[in-house]
Order: sequence, then structure tokens, then C-alpha cells
Amino acid sequence: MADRDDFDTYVASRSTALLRIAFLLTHDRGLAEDLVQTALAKAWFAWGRIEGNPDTYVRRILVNTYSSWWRRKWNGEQATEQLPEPAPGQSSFAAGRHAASGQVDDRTDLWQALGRLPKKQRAVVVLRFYEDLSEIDTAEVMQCSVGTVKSQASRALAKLRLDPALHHDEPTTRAGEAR
Amino acid sequence: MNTTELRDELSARAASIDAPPTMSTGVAGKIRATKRRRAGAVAGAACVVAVLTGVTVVNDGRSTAPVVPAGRATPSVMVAADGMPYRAVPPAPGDVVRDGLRYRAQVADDRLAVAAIGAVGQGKVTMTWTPTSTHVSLATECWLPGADTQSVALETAFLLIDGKRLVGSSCAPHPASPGALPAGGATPGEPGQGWDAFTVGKPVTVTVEAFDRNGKPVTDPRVRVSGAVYVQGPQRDVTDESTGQAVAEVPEVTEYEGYRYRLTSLTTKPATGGPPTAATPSQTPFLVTYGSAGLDPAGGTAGDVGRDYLVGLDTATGGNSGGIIETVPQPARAAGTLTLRHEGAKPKRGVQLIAIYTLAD
Repeated sequence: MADRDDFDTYVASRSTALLRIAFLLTHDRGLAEDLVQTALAKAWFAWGRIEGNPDTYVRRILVNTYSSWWRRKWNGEQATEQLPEPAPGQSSFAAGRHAASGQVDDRTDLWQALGRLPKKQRAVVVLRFYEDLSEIDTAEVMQCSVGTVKSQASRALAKLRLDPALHHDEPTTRAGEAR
Repeated sequence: MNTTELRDELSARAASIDAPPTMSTGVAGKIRATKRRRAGAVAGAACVVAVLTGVTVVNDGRSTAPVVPAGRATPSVMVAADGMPYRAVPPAPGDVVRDGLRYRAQVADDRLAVAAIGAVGQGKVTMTWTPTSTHVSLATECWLPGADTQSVALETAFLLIDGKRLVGSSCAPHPASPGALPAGGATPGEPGQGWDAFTVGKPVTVTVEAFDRNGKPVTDPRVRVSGAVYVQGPQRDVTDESTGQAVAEVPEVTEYEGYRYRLTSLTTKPATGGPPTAATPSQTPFLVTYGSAGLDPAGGTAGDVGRDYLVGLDTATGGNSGGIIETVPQPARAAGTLTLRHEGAKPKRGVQLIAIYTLAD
């Protein structure tokens, strides 16, 4: 993939997939678009040096940019006790938690719990369980060891299972400290 | 919550995002902006030359020698992409090793109590351990090479103590890679109290076993599992003064990329008060553990705990939802100050903390 002419083709073919990853990381459509555009712009400058499939490289930039953007982009985000009312006819997730006679939408709870994960753990969860990357490939994207991927994934799942917003029957545990 | 539900949730959320109209215009604009910024930076930047090791930092006209980790007598200290030193940890007496897989006898000050690494085709390993402490961390691994990722995600190895499931790990769809295995992932019990499910001196049976989606033991000849129990090293309690209860604990010694770091300062403040601050060391790599614990949500709901933001880091500012404690590495730099700010609803109870770890060896 040494030809920058291929860049436009890549952008056209992979934008939606990248946007979905970015949305799972940021939980915000607007930020996700900004994140993808920034990552692709960074990739453009190195496009001539990329060998093989550029997905790994672009994913890496995406995750790194997401991590470094935390303060600048995210400090306006706040959890709210209630979700906004859905628009008429809308069948989105936003209809979830308070929709029907006090029933709890577990998926909404899980989405909120995902939003409470530290950024590195959220990235591991997205790469492992949405992108279906192996631990080795995830480590390559995140530029860390396979052991770090394993421990971050394990801690993320432990945090999700312990999240008070989720109903679970697991025994009480708490995530270990990073070491 | 299991991994199937997690996959479903992520897939459904992702599917709710439609294709963008076009990214090309936005990307082109950012490329142009970057070019302009780089051109400006080159024109206005002072010439700075630094060498990774043996560098001399000039500060306010004074020359100060930087602190580098062990191996400082040689210029061969390896530095990772994050600017932190790293090194391989050699085998040591007490390591549990099989086929190149290794549970280290000691990680930071945590000591291996018991571990087992099964053979290929062995979906269950059992150990007997007589607890010497109730402060433990638990680790488990599972590999099932060759299976497709969708089905592998449904195979999970659980670590059980006396038949009680404690922590699970999804099976990896590839063979185990030689090297050190993670030392722990979950720490059962309450902060400062350890775990009351077993008694010091009374033997327990520790089992790691892989189960399929139907809850039946995995009998695939390719499956492999391992597990370990580590006794935690000394911890320092983080106490909520309003209740007198320990709400978290931080290790006195931790490890990062093969180097040991010792707790040199722990700053705590009630989450109801002002932000805690901590001075950072000069010209030495360090770790920062920060966050909050024991929060009593202001609004009475689990999600209403706001966010903690650590200001003053070398690169990005760390950020967490309230109630989470995280550790971030920081490469050597000039001394500074960290401030842990809280945004959103003010909790009615809880503690914010900043812990600084500096190189111990």
C-alpha cells in the first residue's frame, strides 16, 4: 500500500467500519467522526511507508488518538440519571431504561457500564469483542504486550460484571490494581 | 453479563451508526491544517537536541543529571514507546514453568502461592493450597486454538475455589505463547480486610476448568488452561475518614515493564471537598495511581458519580468515571504538580486519591 492514490479508495471503503469502532470508543457520533478524520489524516502522512494491509496501522492511530484526546474532547460528557425521551417512532436504544413500566433495559445498562471503563480497557474490549481481534493482533494495535491485553481484558470484564448498574449473579470480586 | 451479551451489545450499537456522507472532505481539511501547523512549528521552533540516555537536562541555567533506572552505568537501558524503561525479567527460583509458559514466583511484592499450567488437551487443572493470607489475587488463562473466534468466545475457563466460581477468562483462539503469564486479574474481598471465603491454615482446592456455552466441560483435545493464586504484598489502605472504613488499597510496590516502583506519596481527600494535588518527581520515570473510591452517588443512582480528571500529566490527561482507580506511566521530566479534578455531580461520600510510585531499583 505504498501508493497514496490508494488512500482515497481506502477512506471510501473503510470509513463506516472505522466510524463504528470510533463510536464504540467515544460513545458519541460527532466525536467519532472527528476521531476517524483525525486518524485518517495522520495515516495520510505515513501512507507511503505502510506495508500490507493498512488496517492495523490505522486502528493503532485511532486508538492512540482516542487515548490522547481524553481531556480535550471528553470533559463535557456527563452521565445523566435519565435518558432523553425518544422521538415519535424512534426505536433506538434511547427508548430503553424507562420505557415500559419500570422495566430495565440491560443493554442500556451495559452500554453505560462500558462508558465507565478506563479508556485502555474500553479499547481492549472493542478490539477483542467487536473487532474479534486475537490477543496478539490487539497487542499489535495497542502497542503493548499480549499479557497487558489479557490483563486489561480480564479487568474490564471484571469491572463490567461488578458494575452496580448491571444485574449479575457472580460472586463479589473487585478488579485488581494495575501492575 | 457474559461475553455473548457484550458482543451483542457492541454489534448492535455499532450497527446503529449509518455510513457517513463522506469522510474525504473532512480528512483533507485536517491534512491541510496539519501541514500548516507543521510548517509553523518548523519556522518558530528552537533547535533542541536530546539523546535518550546520558542526556543532560538544562533547567534554569543549571545542569542536572537525570535519574535513570538500573543499568544506569551502561547506556543500554531500553525505553519503550511510552518513554518508560523496560526489561525482560529472567527466570527465578519458584517460577512455575511449563512449555515456556511461566507464572513468576514474584511480581512486585506479590508472591506466587500456587499455580498450575495444564498440558495441551487438559481442560482442567486442580491444586491444593493452604492459605497463608486472605489477601490474594487470582489469575486464570485458557487457550483453544483453531476454533473460530465466535465460538471460542463462548468457552470460558473459571477459577474455582472449593467449587465456587470466582473469576473467568475467555478462551483465546490460538496456542499459548511462551512467556510470563499475567499475575492476577481479580482480588476478592473488601479493601483492607482480605477475603473471608477461606481461612488461613485451612486447605482449599483451587480448580481451573474450561466450560462450553452449555456449561459443560470442554473436552476438545486442543484446549489448555492455567491458573494461579498470588498472595499480595503489603498494601496501604485508603480510608474514608467520615466512616473510618477502608474504601481502597494501593500496593506499596508495583511493577511496570519489568521494573519495580515503590509508593513514595499517597494523597487523599474527601470526594466532597477540594481536589487533591501531588508533586511529581524530577527527571525520573514514575507511575501515578489515581481515582476515587467509596463514592456515595449524589443522585442516589450508580451512574451519577461524575468523572475524575488528572491534570498535569506529561502527555494526555487521565480521565475516569468516578469510582475507578487507574495507573498511568509517566516518563522522566521536570518536577510538576498533578491535580485530580472532579466533574459532574459531587458525591456525598468517598475519597479521591493520587499515589506516586518511583523506581525502586
